[in-house]
Amino acid sequence: MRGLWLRWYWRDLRSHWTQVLTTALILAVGIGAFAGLGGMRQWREDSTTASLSALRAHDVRLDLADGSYAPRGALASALGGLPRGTVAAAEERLVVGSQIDASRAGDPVLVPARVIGIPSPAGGRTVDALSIREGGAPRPDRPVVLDWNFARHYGLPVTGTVRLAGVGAVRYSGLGVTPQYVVIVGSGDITGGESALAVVYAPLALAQRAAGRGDEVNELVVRAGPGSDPRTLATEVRRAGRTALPGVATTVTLGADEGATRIQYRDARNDQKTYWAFAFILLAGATLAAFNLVSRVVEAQRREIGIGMALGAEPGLLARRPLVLGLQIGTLGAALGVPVGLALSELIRGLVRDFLPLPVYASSVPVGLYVGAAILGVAIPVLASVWPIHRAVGVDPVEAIRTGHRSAGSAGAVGRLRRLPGRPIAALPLRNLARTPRRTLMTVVGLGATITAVVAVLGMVDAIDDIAARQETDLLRSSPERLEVALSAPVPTTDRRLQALAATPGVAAAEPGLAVEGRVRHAGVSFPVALLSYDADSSIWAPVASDGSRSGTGVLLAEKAARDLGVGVGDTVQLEHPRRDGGRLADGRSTVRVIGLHPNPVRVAVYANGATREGLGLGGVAPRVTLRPGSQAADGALQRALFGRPGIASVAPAVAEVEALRTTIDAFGAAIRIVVFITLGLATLVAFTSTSISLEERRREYATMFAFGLPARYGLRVSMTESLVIGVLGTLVGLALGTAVANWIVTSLLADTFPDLSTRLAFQASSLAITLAVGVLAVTAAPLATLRRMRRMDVPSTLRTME
Amino acid sequence: MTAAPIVTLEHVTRSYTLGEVTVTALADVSLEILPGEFTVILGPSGCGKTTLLNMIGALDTPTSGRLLVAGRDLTGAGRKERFRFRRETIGFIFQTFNLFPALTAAENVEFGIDVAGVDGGHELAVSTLEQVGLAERVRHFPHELSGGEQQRVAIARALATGSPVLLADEPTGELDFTTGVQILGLLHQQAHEGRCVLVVTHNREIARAAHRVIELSSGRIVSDGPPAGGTVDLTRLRW
Repeated sequence: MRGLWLRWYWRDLRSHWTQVLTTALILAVGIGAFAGLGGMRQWREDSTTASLSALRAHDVRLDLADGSYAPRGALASALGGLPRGTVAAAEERLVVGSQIDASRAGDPVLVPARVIGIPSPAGGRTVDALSIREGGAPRPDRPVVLDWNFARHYGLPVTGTVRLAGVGAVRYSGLGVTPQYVVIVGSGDITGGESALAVVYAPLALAQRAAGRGDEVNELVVRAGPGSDPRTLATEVRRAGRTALPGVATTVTLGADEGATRIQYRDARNDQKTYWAFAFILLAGATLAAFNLVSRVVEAQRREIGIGMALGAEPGLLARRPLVLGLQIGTLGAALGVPVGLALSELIRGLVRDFLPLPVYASSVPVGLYVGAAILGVAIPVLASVWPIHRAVGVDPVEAIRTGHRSAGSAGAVGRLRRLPGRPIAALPLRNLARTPRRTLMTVVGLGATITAVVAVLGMVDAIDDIAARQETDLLRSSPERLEVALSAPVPTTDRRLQALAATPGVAAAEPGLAVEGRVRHAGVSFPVALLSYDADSSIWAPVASDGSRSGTGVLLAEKAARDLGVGVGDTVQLEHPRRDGGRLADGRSTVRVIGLHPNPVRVAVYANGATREGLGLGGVAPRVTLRPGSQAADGALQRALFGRPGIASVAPAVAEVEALRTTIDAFGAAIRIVVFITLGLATLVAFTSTSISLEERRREYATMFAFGLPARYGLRVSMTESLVIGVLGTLVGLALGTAVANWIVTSLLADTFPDLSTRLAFQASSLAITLAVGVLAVTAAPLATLRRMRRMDVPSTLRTME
Repeated sequence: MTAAPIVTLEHVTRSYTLGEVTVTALADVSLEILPGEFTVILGPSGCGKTTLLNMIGALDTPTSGRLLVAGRDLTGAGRKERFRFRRETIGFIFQTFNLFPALTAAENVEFGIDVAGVDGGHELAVSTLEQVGLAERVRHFPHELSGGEQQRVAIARALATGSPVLLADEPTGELDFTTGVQILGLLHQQAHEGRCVLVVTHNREIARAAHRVIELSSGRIVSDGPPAGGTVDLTRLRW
């Protein structure tokens, strides 16, 4: 008895191997995505933690106020009074703002630089070790190391020569990172700051030369001793700093609060939410598709189950066969799902490695997650077969063995379709679908689930692209070639240096302006902003108001900022900002009216016109100048001319801000694009499997057609027409559900991941085209893959066997 | 002494409700069938032949009346009880053969044997196929067999279980004359060996070879007795 059943199971597997394999693959994609994407947060957090430990990252950083310096040794010796064992290691360094010229032939790269002067960049460092990712350690003839993020962004070679303002040409030995600059954080906590900031690791002496200082430092990094609490240590370091340098303003930052560290953990957490969303979408799509396909395969055995019951076989015995088929699909799906998950995980990890240059990446595999996914993989098709089995064994045997019993109950639908115009033969595909409404519905839902995943994923990619596109539209609306010149220190707007800058050859227009950091606050909500000035009559660039007006006293807030603060035009907000206090800038706080909203999707920009600046105590002072190069100026020529000029901190093209955002978005979007490909593959697999099962289901009908002399292409036409209808319906379902899911992802998950960015659902025409291509064209064309099987069909045998 | 009937129907009625319409397939049918009888149930399509067969085979239950087969009262039998009854008592031969396409001829027969809980398994299946003249076809799948061969496999499946009641629904309906006669010969032989053989057909020629012909019309028995002119030899049948 057992031998008979085993042979039967084996033959079932052999006769359905394409459906079993493709359904298993569909499942494998679903559970693979679940396992592969599910463990990303843990892996990233583990990698970050391990890297911080390997690089002996500082726990506390003390830095002196801008322009303040301490003799080398003064800061370190101040720690001498701390209790023994509190400090494991400490190191002084000099951090200097500069500019770098890393231009190559025809490709200007002139950006602000931050030179990190460290005592021994070559090695043996006890705090904030330098991890060389490419190239070699610094040596006397190549004394500096460039930040890997910056070099990769601009495509710089692994070794070479750059020019540093105040130093001149300097050779670099390689590309590396330190814990504090693993990611370069721009304003508004947005990563991708490497497009506008080059971190350069240099010997202390070279940094001192760049700063024009003697043997001085301005920063101290400290690693806590074993068992020492970093917060307590921070308090003690602050106290020690004040004691050592009375009257000098200092800032103490915890290592855990460093932008790069904080953002790595935050991004790991936020990105995981998105990964989970995709994992669940793919799993749901695959589950529904697998459910549909398994059900259909099992459904095809209903008549045989009926025969068995008529012969007196127990339903439980007959249920084994379809259950085993479900088990075979599940086992294969689980077996394939694990490597799919590992491969997907490795793919995403590879992308993370590409933009997150950690020295150590965890190698752990979340075994529990994979085991759970494998169990899920087995359970889904088994559960999917339970309902059709229940239905099959619940039917009266006399009903089940009646030929064509499956058409029973749909006479109404067929009857209505009988009134379709045209020859009966032309209406056959529609009638086929109408006479099996349950199967048609399941297929539509199965395909719709997959298309939902496609639409949701594409919707997210489009929403991300939309952010960058809107920012580009806003910032590069006029004078896209303009340069933003940051001055070393704010100067009066009447200063002669500004006039000299305006008179620089190649400058067509120059407008002094304001750019200071601040914070906006309203009803308990606050976030950092950049307070920028504008002149509504500017010949270079001025923000536009999407709501309200640019004139009057008050500020223009980003639409997103206004939404987050819960304010509108005419409301007031609190603004924390610097204020002129004699010759220096002091902290200030103002209540300002919102006169308008601007459409930039980044919420950090707060614009103030001239009248408002006066009210904020920031009139007549200019920390930056906007320049418009003349039309004759060569690319980068003006930047080069201003490079290293005294009083200029940096010169950056306006497009750099757009590029910075795009860099951040691209790093995030790369993972999503992988999901797009997986989803498209999934949809194609579903289309093929569905068609393959349809062919099996209609095998006898096709054989009858061929027996009447109709060619295989006619069968193909019927099949393709059926697929077209299924494809259109499934795509409509998928578009509707996918849009809802995408909207939830974009307005909820994406908004969480990028709290500073305004996200919205904005489908591109190309996404709609891809969806239609997969949902309609691929599904319609899928029967082509079965043409060979149709042509090779043994018509007499097929007709001879009564079904 | 006359043998006890193996099939007894007392005022059996079977009606179906289709929407608002009630259709009576069998109306107040009473009859007894003895073991060893080759009985043909004759009548036009829709007269209730198959319903009667399904009732006796415990595939269906009467709406009213009493039904006893092989000493068991099936009138109010539950689903489980009917399953067991079919396994132990009934051998079915369907018009459309109803073989399992993924099983070979021998395996199809073996399935019936296993389900009935009869010892012998594969060997018994092969020997039964030899009895029906399919010794060379035991390893063939249904699609590799002709219609007559498939029907013979179906008969072998029913015979191998040794069930006392054989029910055949239009067993020759799909077959040519020669094969049909062969099949009837096999069934005749089973009756001769003491089994109760009930054959449903609309073919009056087949009825000529029966011991007894029960004719139905609109769900009622219109005649019951030996064929007019007496039972003829199978070799004299023509259709």
